Amino acid sequence: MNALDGILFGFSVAFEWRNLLACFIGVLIGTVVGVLPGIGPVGAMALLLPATYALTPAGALIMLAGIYYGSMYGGSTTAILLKVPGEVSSVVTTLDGYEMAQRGRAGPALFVAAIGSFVAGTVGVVGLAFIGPLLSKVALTFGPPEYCALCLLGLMVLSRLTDSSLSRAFVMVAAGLALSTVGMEPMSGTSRFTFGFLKMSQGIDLVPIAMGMFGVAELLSMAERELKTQAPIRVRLRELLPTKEDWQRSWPPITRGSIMGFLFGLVPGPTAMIATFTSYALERKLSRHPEQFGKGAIEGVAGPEAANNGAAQGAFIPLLTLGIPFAPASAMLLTALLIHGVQTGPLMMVNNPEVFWGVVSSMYVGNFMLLVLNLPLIGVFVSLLRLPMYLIASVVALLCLVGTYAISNSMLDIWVLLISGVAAYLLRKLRFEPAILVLALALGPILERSFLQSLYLVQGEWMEIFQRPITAGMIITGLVVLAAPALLRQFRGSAAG
Amino acid sequence: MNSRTAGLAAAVLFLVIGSGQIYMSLALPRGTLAEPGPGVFPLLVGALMSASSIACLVLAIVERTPLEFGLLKDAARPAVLVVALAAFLVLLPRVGFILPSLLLQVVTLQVFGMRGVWRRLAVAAVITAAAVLLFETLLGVQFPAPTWSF
Repeated sequence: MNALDGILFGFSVAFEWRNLLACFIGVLIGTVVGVLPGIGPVGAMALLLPATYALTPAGALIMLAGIYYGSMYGGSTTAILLKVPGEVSSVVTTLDGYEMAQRGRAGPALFVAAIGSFVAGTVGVVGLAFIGPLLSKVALTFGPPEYCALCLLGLMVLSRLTDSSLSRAFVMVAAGLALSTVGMEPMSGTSRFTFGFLKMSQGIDLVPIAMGMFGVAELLSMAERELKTQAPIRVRLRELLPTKEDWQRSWPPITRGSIMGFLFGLVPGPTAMIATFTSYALERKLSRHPEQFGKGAIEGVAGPEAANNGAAQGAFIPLLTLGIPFAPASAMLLTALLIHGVQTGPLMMVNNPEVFWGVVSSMYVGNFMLLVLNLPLIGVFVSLLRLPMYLIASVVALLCLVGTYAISNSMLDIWVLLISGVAAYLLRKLRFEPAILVLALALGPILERSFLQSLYLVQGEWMEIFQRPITAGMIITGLVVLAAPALLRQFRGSAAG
Repeated sequence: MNSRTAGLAAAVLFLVIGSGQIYMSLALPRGTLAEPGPGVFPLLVGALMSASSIACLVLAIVERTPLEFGLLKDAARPAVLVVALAAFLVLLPRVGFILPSLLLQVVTLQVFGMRGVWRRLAVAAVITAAAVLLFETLLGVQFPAPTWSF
């Protein structure tokens, strides 16, 4: 099936009424989650995982993916109207978006953010449709050593891209991998580190850990910060339209941001956030009016907003083509696919074309729904911000607990939720990044299996693993990324000297 | 506890966990390089954690930049919330869903600044009723049957 046939087939799946409904529910919840502080997209995806049991695998993935990219739209609303980024990737939008709102131009800021997100979503879908099959073909030549190297590359890049120091990032990688070793060993089935708990022989579920680290930890941070309900600026429909000059100034940043964001999305780590910062810096450099940045420049909203949505779409490629999650949200999608019995990896496109193409095409449908939801109905979402914080917090607390318990009616799971929530709250204070742990936990089983299979394959001659060109290329890339800051410092030092 | 002590404590804690992982991995069969056993991967992970923790320990000793937040700054509200969440977990299998949920809601509403005891109780009752309706009645979630044993 070529890309065009694939997209058309995907639309036939996406337009089935159940999948359309799943997509609508997903993007609606995503927008709400993006607007409101608290649970976040990963927590919301974890929470709604049990609700997807009644859906087909394609429907489940369409809904969960909708939550993820929907939250990117929602996150910009609070950034522009309240200077409170709904998601980390909307932090940059506060710089000029809020300034525009203060100058009575909240409408054009919201409009450009929504259009930028839509364009980036479209670029992302086209990219997914064309790059996805190519990457799948390449991945079909991968054996266990290549998968092992890919996981290592992912963890190395992730360690470098977060705020933590390298040693702290490695501690989090090790902690996530250590948690993934609990339960049955993948080759021999030997039970490890279960401490007498029968349920732990099945391993530690990703969902309670992710809910704890993204839901409960955020709740505790909110309690500490004592967030107050703020009255957002009112935006009327007729005030939304940008001027001709706004359009002219917005299109180039949107185009650049969309492409850059998509490419950033292919890389492991918090790429949506990094893409927004890079896009902002680039637009400021290219602008004829750099002095307006930080004072309400529309380019400062258009570029980063396109970039964060582009990155959100690009992040689906490693998951859908290689079966490897490079972001916590992708890890949740992988969990959903495994629960629904879908074999992930390069053969997914052949064995489950309705899932692959259905999800790709549904993103286009979802982006269109988001455009409708976020422009004419912006007032409805803004009114959510008038809900008292105590009400949001108490509902989120109960949803985290009951949602986690409902997945497998397990008390152990909710204890894991609470412990990981408290741990993540404390870890953040100590500048350890819990997202790395979550991702390492998701990658751990794939890494261990491929590592052991590789050793079996080369009969213990481990140097042979590094003599394979793709494996060697990935490991060298990872090492270069790890060493890059030190090398750059050295280079700058010698250039200055 | 100042930020430096907290950093040191965290590094030591991870060093203990890493060492524990190595110790427990050594009790598992390790096999050979050609036929690795179930202890190999955890052993490597334990070694990575121990080595990184030692690096963190050194960093915590030499690093002068203070952490972004003081560890115990404004910790009272989160601490109360953690106790309420733990109480929910302890009570749920013993007294069923409704009472722990009410208690959790009342405390959460208070932590987040809702005024008036009766208002808090009323809102907690509405949220709990909505949760029972949604999860138990509509989604068929079976909460643990109360044992009333402590």
